[in-house]
Amino acid sequence: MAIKILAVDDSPIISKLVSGTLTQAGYEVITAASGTEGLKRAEADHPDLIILDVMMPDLDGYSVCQQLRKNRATARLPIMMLTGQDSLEEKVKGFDAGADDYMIKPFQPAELQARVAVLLRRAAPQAQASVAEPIHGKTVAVFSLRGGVGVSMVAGNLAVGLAQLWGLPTVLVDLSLTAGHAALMLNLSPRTTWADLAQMPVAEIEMEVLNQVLLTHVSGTRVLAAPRRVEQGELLTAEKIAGVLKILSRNFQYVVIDLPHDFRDTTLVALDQADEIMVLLAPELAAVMNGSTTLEVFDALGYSKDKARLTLNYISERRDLARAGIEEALKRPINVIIPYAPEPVALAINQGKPPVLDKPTSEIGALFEDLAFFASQEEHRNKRPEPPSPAWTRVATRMQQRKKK
Amino acid sequence: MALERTAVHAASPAEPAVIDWAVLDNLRTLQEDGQADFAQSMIDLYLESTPPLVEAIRAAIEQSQAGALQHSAHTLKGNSHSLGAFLVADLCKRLEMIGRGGSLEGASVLFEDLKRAAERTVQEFLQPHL
Repeated sequence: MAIKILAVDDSPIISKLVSGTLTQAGYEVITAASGTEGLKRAEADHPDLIILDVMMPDLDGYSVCQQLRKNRATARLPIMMLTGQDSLEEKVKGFDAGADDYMIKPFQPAELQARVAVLLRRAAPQAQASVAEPIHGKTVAVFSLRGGVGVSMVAGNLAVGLAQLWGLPTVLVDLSLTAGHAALMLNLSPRTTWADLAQMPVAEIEMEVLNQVLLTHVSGTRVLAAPRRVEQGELLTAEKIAGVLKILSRNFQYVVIDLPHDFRDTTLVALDQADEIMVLLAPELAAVMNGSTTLEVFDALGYSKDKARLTLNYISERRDLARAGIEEALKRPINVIIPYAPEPVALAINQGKPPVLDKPTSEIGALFEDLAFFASQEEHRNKRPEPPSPAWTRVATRMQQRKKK
Repeated sequence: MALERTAVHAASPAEPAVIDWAVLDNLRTLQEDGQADFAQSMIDLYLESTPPLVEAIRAAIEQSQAGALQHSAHTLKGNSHSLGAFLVADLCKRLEMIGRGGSLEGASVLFEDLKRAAERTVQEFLQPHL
């Protein structure tokens, strides 16, 4: 039986917006056009949650809320006030009247869906009693100070590769807040994005909320997409990003971050939280110079040497610089080489199909699979999964073959 | 598409934009397969409910009823925000404050602006759009 929500609002437009938003989230919605009608329906129709407009001509939302709290049948119902009043005084008045939550119009549909989900869960704590132990997932950030070297490509394939290898909760976080398209590269419509978290106080963001915002890829990988509009990305603070990444690492075995090409504070918090940073390089002078700057900054930030792994991506046929020369310039070994593969890469980007999923046996698909394996947690790498996934079997076979050689 | 429309309006200084179409694009994400056009039905409701609310605001000012002004302006403000009709929403917000203050000084002048803004908004919503 669907969860039933009563929306009380004298404006048919707001009523329709609220019911459209909540119907889409799978709830059954009934409406009342006045405070008096709201009180009647609250008693007669047994809703699971009530959304109350504050300013209504007959009985205002505060009075309706107080009366609902006095009535034994409705005293414990979760109530959300929905109003255009955004002063602290009005908010306090709402809570004094007995409201559980308070949302200001105009609201984002995804935020209303998220808050309703949280309220309903709080109202039914016994149903959630057996929450799994928190986990300590591994966070891998993919980074390059220079654009166009394939950061999103590598991050997307790494996340999908990890999900395919272990079948464990994996999330891809797009932190290119002003220009990211990790979702589109996985053929996902960015219906919900970081922007849906922009207005929400950090303290109110929990996994339940994030679940509403994360997209789901066919591989099972969840995706936190970049905002669709530039100005929405600018509202996100480093504090909020750090908070969200913490929650994700407690709920996912693997968190893969697709980072922008800068050292802004929103990027730095992600680098700080990463257990491993995959630094992408291209075989050209500017990219290597950027790589060198990157490693200097990492040193200055106090990151240990083995936190960063260098990955050389042959993004074009040109090979201006040889591997040995790059290693000498950076005084570090290159850990991974991605060969030049224009066709599969272009196809993957245009069709939203990551090679690691679409063509796992191709050279580039196999490489991403191996890359995912080597980025995996030690305890996962050391144990054969039961049953082994097709991806794991392919990786293991390739490792055997390499040993024989 | 929304960006193009916004750009066209923004480029015409004589007629500043009255609608943020991105809000409607956001409403389109609530569209469910096989159901009536959700965003369009919101627009239809807006077209239907706006003239009576504008009239109620006019009557409240004429009869110096501050409470009635506050309420009608509040409702039209909320409706307008929900559809991205930000100019009407802003003017209503100011009228609502005047109504809350009790003295209706300046309300008539603002009402003329509101009337024009509401007419333009309705016209824009009536234009064929995506």
